[in-house]
Amino acid sequence: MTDAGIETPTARTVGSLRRVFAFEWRLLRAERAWGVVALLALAVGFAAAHGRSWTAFQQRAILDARAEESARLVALARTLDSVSRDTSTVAPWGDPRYPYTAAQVQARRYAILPPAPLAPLAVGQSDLFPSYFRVGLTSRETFLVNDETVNPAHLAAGPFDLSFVVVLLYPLVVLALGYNLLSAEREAGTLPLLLSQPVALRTVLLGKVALRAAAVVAIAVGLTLGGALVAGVSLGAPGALAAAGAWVAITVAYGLFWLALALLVNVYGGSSATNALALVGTWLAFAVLVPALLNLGVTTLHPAPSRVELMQATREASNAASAKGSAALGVYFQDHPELMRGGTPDVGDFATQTVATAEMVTRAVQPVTQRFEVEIDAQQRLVDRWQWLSPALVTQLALTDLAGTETGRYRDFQRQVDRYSDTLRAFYVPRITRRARFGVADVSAVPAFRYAPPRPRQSGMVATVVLLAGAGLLTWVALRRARRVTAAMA
Amino acid sequence: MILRIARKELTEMARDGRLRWATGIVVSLLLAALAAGWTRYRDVQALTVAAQASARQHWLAQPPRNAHAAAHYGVYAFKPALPLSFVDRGVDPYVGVFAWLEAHKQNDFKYRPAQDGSAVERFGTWTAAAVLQLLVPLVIVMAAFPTFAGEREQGTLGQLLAAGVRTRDLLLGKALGIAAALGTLLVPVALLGAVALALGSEVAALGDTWARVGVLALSYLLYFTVFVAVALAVSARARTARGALVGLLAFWSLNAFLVPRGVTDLARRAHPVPSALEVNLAMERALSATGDGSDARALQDSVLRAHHVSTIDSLPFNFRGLTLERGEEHSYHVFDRTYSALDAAFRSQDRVEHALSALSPLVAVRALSMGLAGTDYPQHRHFAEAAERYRRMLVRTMNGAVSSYAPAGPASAMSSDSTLWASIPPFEYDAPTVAWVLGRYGWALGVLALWAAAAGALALLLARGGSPLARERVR
Amino acid sequence: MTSILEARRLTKRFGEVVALDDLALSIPAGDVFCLLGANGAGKTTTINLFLGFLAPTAGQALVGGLDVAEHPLETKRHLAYIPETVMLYRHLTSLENLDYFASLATGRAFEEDELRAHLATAGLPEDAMARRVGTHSKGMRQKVGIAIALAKGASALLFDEPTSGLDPKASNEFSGLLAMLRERGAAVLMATHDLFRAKESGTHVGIMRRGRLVQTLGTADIGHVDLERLYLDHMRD
Repeated sequence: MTDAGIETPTARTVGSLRRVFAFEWRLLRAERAWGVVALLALAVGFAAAHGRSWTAFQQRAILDARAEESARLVALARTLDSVSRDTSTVAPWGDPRYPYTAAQVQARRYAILPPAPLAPLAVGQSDLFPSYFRVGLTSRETFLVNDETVNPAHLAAGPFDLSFVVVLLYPLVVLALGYNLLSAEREAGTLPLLLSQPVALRTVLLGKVALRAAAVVAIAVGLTLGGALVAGVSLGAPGALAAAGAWVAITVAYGLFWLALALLVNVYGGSSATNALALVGTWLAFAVLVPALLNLGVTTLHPAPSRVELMQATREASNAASAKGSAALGVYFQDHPELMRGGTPDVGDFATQTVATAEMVTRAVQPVTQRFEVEIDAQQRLVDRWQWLSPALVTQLALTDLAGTETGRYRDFQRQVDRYSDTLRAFYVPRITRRARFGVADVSAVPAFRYAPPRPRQSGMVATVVLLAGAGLLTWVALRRARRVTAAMA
Repeated sequence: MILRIARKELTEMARDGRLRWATGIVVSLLLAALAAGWTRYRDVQALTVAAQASARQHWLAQPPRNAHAAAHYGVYAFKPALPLSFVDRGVDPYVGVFAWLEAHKQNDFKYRPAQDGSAVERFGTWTAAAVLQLLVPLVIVMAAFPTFAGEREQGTLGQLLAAGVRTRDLLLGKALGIAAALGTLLVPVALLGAVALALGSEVAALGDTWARVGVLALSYLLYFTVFVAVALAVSARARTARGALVGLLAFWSLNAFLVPRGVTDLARRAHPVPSALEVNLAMERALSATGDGSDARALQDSVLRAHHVSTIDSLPFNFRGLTLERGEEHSYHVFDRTYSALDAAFRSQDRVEHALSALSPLVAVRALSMGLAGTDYPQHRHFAEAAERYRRMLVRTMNGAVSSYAPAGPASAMSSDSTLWASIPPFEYDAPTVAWVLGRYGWALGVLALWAAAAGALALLLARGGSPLARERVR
Repeated sequence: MTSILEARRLTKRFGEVVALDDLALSIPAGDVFCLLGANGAGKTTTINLFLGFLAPTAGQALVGGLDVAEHPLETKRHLAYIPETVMLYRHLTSLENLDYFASLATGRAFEEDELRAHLATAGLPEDAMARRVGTHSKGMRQKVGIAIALAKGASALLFDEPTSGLDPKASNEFSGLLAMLRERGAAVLMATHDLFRAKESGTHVGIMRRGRLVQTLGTADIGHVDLERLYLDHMRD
């Protein structure tokens, strides 16, 4: 009979752990459980290709915009030059020498939101919110077709991007590997023989979990790197590598959370079928139900005022403003005396009147737009607070944040565009009211839009930590409960 | 025989704790979704009706002004909510809520509700359609996965077959049992929804709405049948209950999540659309292509000749009205070309998606559900086109009024008053009939029926040919 | 001679039901003790108590002098459990299964030669060693179970209905294995219905009835027919 030698209990446990780990690897390989991983790889490839083509579409549009703008400005300079030298004529309403016309037609500038390096990995809100605006004088929406041309049915269905694969499909793979980690032994009848060896059930469970955890990490890394490769993410771009690292970290933490959940469910001693149902039910709850219910709650508590209301308020305000007509203009110059040219205002000047009316209308609808901002911010704050109810939601928000395609970034962009619009107005309005001429020199003097990236939120790090903590807690509870499980429980 | 089997299945299901939990949750979610959808529908309907009335008031209350100025003032058109939208919101969060009908421009519908939502909005709004399409199939899977495989494991399948029970009766009995369980849960909820609909809608629209409700019920019925048949087929094939469950869960997740998204992506790739920038720039270029004014001069010359006068002031009508109308017609060509090209691209994408619905019954039922609820994109365009027709009529009337102004009169005489405004009828919209919807989505019913038939045949085949033994027993 | 398997006033109650009542047992090395009794008499409960799968309501179960309740892992080092059907990992071979259980039990790795030797000693044919156990018969699985016990160096073996479902040849082979185990100094506790095999291979028999050990005797002291009559007498009323 053999003698194992003098061994400390800890060394013994570690040895057993290693053995269980190695054995589980052999077992899973023999059971051909890796088919699901292959399917996941296919999904990753598909998703990455989608992200790539979508980002390429966006970048093409941005390039077109820039090209159009520079071509237009060059043409404008040429027109101004030739008109000033009387070598050509223009129709009165198209004359760029009037600052108003230049501002509204020829000298319009684009405000562009550049896609972040990781944008191909998560479509997020980039198919719903525009990433470029052509800014004139009166409002930022100067297009006839304002929103990006995406089939609304596709918006409703949701994009098949890498974040979808990570948030919805990857947990299913993790669950497929872990749902029967204990119940399979019980159902196969090998549990009594296993437990009659001098190894604690906790050790066995830890070994099984450790193997699957290694698989989770490997899959997460492969998924991200493979996805980034196929999606054409340039890891050399500033901040890209850090973002990709954060992406991997969140994915790993998310996967480990689901693995811990699978362990906990197994320890409760149900059959494989019951475990599978419980886990899929939990997945559905976290991935679909909780976010939808949260949405319901958020929109009930802080319903955004209807845009219809805003439109009506605007309509009434502009009615009132134009009814006041010259009175409005008079009030306008009282507020901005520095803008008056000479002493007497020329009431018939359409441009000045329009600008004055626009400002009156903006001021009149200010309360309604203010309410919009307040309610939308309140909604966002609620979501930020209650997102922790669902790991799927936490992960999705963190991933889209890393890719630069989440709501906050677009709203920040819109605020920057509004500020830019104010800057443009500050540039043009004095010229309009003073009847200054718009000249060739002014073309390059028009302020350009400069995008200021918002401060990076550490949402990725917080999400990773919280998910890992959750996984740890679940594992601890499961191992404690494992003490009570014996083979006779079958 | 079949009834007896059905009754036994029903008893077993009623005693299964897991199943009771699941069905309880699903029914509560369904009721909550219907309630939320109903409240939202009523709110939107009230808001839209009030807004449309107020827009009409604004139009009528215009001070006397030049008719063309009135055309510039324009009218707003508000997208109405169709009654069944409380069941399926479809693309409503992703299309604009109102459009400004004004001269010279065919404005798109602005302000998509989803853009005013929070980050959670894109995770999906909670509608009855989502519950019916995603959760009820899961309940079916839960109820049906052990029917054959579980009996096989327990050993009772062999006993049943040895007792002389026909496989076909077994299959039908089990299917009936599951159907009865589903029916007891869903039929009351459906009736509740129907009652709410009856109480809340205008009587005039009711006829068509009931037809839509009927076809919608049929669609979901077919969808559930597909799932029952597939579940029985998988259960008949699997050796263990666990194997049946895993297989069915894989099918469910493919059907519910993977294929629908993948299919839309493939459709987009097959028929790419130009970016909004391209569309807008092309439109602007085409609109401003009035040439060097030679067309306008030619028109002027021909009109002067036709009326045998030498100056436009001598014409019996105001020439400006005619030029305005010509300009509008030019723009109509451009808009029609642009929007119809976009529509055609989207429709081609939809066709690809529909063709691929053979891969997933959810894609078929999703299209049907949205179409019948009136919340699909084609019906949005139907409304948009009706609004556009109204706009063109309004602008033409205004331009006609401009033509009627004395050609050489003072500017102050070139104005109209509220009699002109009132001559434009209020905007009224008739939603498409159920026949229109079926014309576009009838194929989906065929796909679902085919799926159900194929799955049912497969189930029968597998049940007959399957072994009553779980696995080779240890000798 | 110290006994390897010992039960001192071992009692197990499940609520109102007394599954085992005040069991006293002492099995030294080289002894094969056969527990006879009807289903539900307490045979499996006794085995589960020695394995530590159940906790005793009163009394002690001792393996190698150690109390099972106090030293759960230590006592398992010396024990080997061979259930009625030895369920192994279907997709792995006999060698791989043996490798796993043995290395877990002893904390060391095994060479293939060692494993093959143990399987051979347990009577498993050469060609079955590298085959997946999914196709193994009951008898072959039992041999793998015994090989695990051998590799482990277990001094105490617990068998639960070892000959049920075995054909006469396999049953006879089993007797040979028991003899081999006895020679190596193992103590064997066997729960069985098989009176014939108990008389053939056992050194002692104990008759259990409703949780109590009602009679113990040496197999050398009684013949086959008398044993059966004695058993049936106890089972009456």
